[in-house]
Amino acid sequence: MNRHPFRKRNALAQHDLHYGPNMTPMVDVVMVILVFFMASAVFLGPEWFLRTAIPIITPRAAAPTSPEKKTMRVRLSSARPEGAASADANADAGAALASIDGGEPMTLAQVEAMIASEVKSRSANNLTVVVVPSPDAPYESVVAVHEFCQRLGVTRIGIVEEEK
Amino acid sequence: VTPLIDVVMCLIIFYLLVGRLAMDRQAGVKLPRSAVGAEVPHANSLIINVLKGEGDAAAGVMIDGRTVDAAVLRERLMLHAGAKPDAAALVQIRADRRLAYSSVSPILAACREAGLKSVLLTTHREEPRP
Repeated sequence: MNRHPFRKRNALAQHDLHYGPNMTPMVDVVMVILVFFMASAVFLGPEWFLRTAIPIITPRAAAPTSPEKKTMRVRLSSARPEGAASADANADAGAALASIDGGEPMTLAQVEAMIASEVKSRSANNLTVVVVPSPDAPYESVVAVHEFCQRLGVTRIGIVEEEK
Repeated sequence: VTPLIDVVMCLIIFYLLVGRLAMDRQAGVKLPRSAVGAEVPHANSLIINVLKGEGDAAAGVMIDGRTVDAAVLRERLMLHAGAKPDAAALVQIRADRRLAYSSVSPILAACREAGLKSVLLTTHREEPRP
């Protein structure tokens, strides 16, 4: 009944019985590539980017070109008193002090609310946000301002140095 | 023996490639978190890592897995911006979130000097808060 009782059972012998190309090596290679990309994607972690402009001249020197355009200068500094220990792991960006256009000190949440109301009254394209961090301001607060500007659709945002 | 060599070869290549990628992305940097951001499809960017040291001072600036000083940093930025003088010259700044801004401002100053108009601040992707 069985015409080949002792036939070899390896891939090549099996291949003789089938039509078409042998897919096994290709599947091997594709599997390795797949596993490689999966593993490296997990290893590298999710990252993304906030774009910021770094103008050379301070925008205050440039006169506003039209009345509907507006530049907001967000000054950032550290809320910690001078010389206080910094190593509070849970201190979030809300610990920074900010002020807009040299006004009253406020929290970052208030800055966000101010920018949101400006975006509402004029379009986000007409608004320029300039971040002026003092040297002791936490870097995280600089990023936080960029984050909510991006969320509100303000694309014209940049960092300038504090004037000495 | 052949399957063993196959497997070992795969592992070696895997670690070589991941090691090269990981060199640019220092694991010691705790990135600031953000719920929004942009994916940048450009792979050809200069990655500058700013590592945290004691307190909120920086321990050093790393490019390609090597600590660089201000002169080398300026040189690398000039090279990078000189190759593509338009806005397409991308520089990613991967600074630790616990740093003070004074650690980052010299790098921005060097970028300005190299003629860059904008830089990318790398953040850790976080699900938006409810």
